[in-house]
Amino acid sequence: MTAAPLLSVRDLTVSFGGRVTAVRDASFDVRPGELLGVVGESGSGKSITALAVMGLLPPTATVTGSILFDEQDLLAMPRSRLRKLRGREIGMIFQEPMTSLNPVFTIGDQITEAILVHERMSRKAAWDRASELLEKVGIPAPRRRLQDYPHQLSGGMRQRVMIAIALSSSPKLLIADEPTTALDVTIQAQLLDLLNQLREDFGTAILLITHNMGVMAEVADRVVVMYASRIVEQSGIFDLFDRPQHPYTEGLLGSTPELDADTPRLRTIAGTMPNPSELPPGCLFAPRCPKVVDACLAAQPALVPVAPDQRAACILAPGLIESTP
Amino acid sequence: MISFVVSRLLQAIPILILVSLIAFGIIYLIPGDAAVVIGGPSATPEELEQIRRNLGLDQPLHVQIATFYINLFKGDLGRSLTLGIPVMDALIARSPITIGIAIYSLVLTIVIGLSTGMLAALNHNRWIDQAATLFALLGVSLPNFWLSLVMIVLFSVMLGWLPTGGYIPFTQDPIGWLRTTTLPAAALALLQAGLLTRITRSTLLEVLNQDYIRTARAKGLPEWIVVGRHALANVMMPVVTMVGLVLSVLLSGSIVIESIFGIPGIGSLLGSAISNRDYPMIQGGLLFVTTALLLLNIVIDLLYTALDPRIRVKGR
Repeated sequence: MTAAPLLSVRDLTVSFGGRVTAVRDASFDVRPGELLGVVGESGSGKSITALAVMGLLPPTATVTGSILFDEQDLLAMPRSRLRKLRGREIGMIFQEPMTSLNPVFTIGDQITEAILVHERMSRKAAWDRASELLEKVGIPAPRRRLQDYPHQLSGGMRQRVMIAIALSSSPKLLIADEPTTALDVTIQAQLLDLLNQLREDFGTAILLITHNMGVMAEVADRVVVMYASRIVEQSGIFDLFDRPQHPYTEGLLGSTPELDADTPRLRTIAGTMPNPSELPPGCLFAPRCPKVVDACLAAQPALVPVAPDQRAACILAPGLIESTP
Repeated sequence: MISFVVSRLLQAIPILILVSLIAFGIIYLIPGDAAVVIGGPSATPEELEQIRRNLGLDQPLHVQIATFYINLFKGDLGRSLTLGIPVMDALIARSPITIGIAIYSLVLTIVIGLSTGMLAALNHNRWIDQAATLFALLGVSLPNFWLSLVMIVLFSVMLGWLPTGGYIPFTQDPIGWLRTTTLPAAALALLQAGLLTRITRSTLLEVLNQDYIRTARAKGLPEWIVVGRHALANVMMPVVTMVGLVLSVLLSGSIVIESIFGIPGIGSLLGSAISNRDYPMIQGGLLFVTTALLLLNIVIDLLYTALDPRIRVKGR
């Protein structure tokens, strides 16, 4: 561990109505300026984790554990203080650029609003700042664009506007929940470049949620792999690709298409993720795991260190077996 | 924007022609001989002949239609059979009263309907929500003439706060106007407010689940701005649509309400015209009310484009 973490999530558990648990015992850190990727299938708890950090979960959610941001516990602080933190210290962009902007207000209105709620300045100054932000996220003719309504912009443009809003108060942490999923591949690449560049320019730490391993490979420093509400592996990006410790990670990597590889058919992970309201005993991945042994069905393995800066929740992790001969 | 207004006005013309034809045809809807019905059983043949000549019924049909339209363009709707004055004069004299009450009632409808609907949606599934839903249901299902009578008994007879009826012009005594118009306006408004409560509640519940509301919260905006600005701006569209409907019901409802409260507006004018078989007056009233509603709907369409930028661009 180098610098103190900017965001430190410990034993985060989120459940809805006491029956469905969407996130279980999630613990991870985001260091200043780092890009942490969270990867997993739909319904693995990635987005719920992000919303929990933002304090934007619906009131029906029960959240336990702790979320330390800059050494303040977000879960323990009053709602009004959390609100002031949102947008100013932690920005967020969402998966659906088409519907994430309010259709009846101009782009300029929506950006300056985000600026003015956190900083005292004239409308004129805020408007200038908004124009600069649009330029920074790569929107041509920003002055004119500020007058536009969301429906006049393409999906990629709208996502850029969302990024501009999220960056409006220079947050220390940017949470991006599948920011490129709804966009064309070429636009995806441009936006990832943009995120990367903004991280270098502003030193903003980014928590990037995606189900796309290719996206991870391109931008992430470290990766958290989630499966059925649990973190199953946590690792630096190179170790993850070179020496995946959890069979699920292996499966994910195997099912990523490669252009030059001579694979006749894309590999898949057999089966589907268990229903969160009726989870199997033991390891949650056991029913789909190609390496499953009897011991897997006995208890859910804990997330333990298996190699330097690499943790996995699997009793068969190669790192574990090597270290205990 | 001007071309939009012009095109809407042009669209209104066929409707007006249709309505005027219906108005013209009313006289032929009278079973048997119109003159006998109007003149009554004691009328002599000479009197009947006189009535026919006055109404132009002795002319061939095409002459009747031509005369009707020529007079219409001159603003001449004929002469009331019972009041003995031109129909147009009667309508012009009475309309400010009805319009005043309609506006008052509309304001009440919007204030009550919007606030109750918002309260209900923001307290979804709690007792406030249930109370508001019950209020909306009562408002929608209670007939407004019955409501008027109950209100007269309660506020005028038992509590003595407001007069049981009558009308004082606003220009003469604003407080007196308020005292005489509050009960009729409220009686008209409660039913509409019930409808508006329902629409506001369901729309706001839907809007609050939208992604852009989550974005607004993620920006760190205080909740009252999230609801009062971001959500409300999107709730206004269905509400404005609703207002168009409200206005037409307010005008037709005024016939009953004005008669109950003894208010000399268009409503009671038409009410007595109908019961006295004052056909020229019924014709004139029909034309007048339809034209007013057409114009109001054009205004509402304009409001729409002001509220929703997506429509504005398409309309260009």
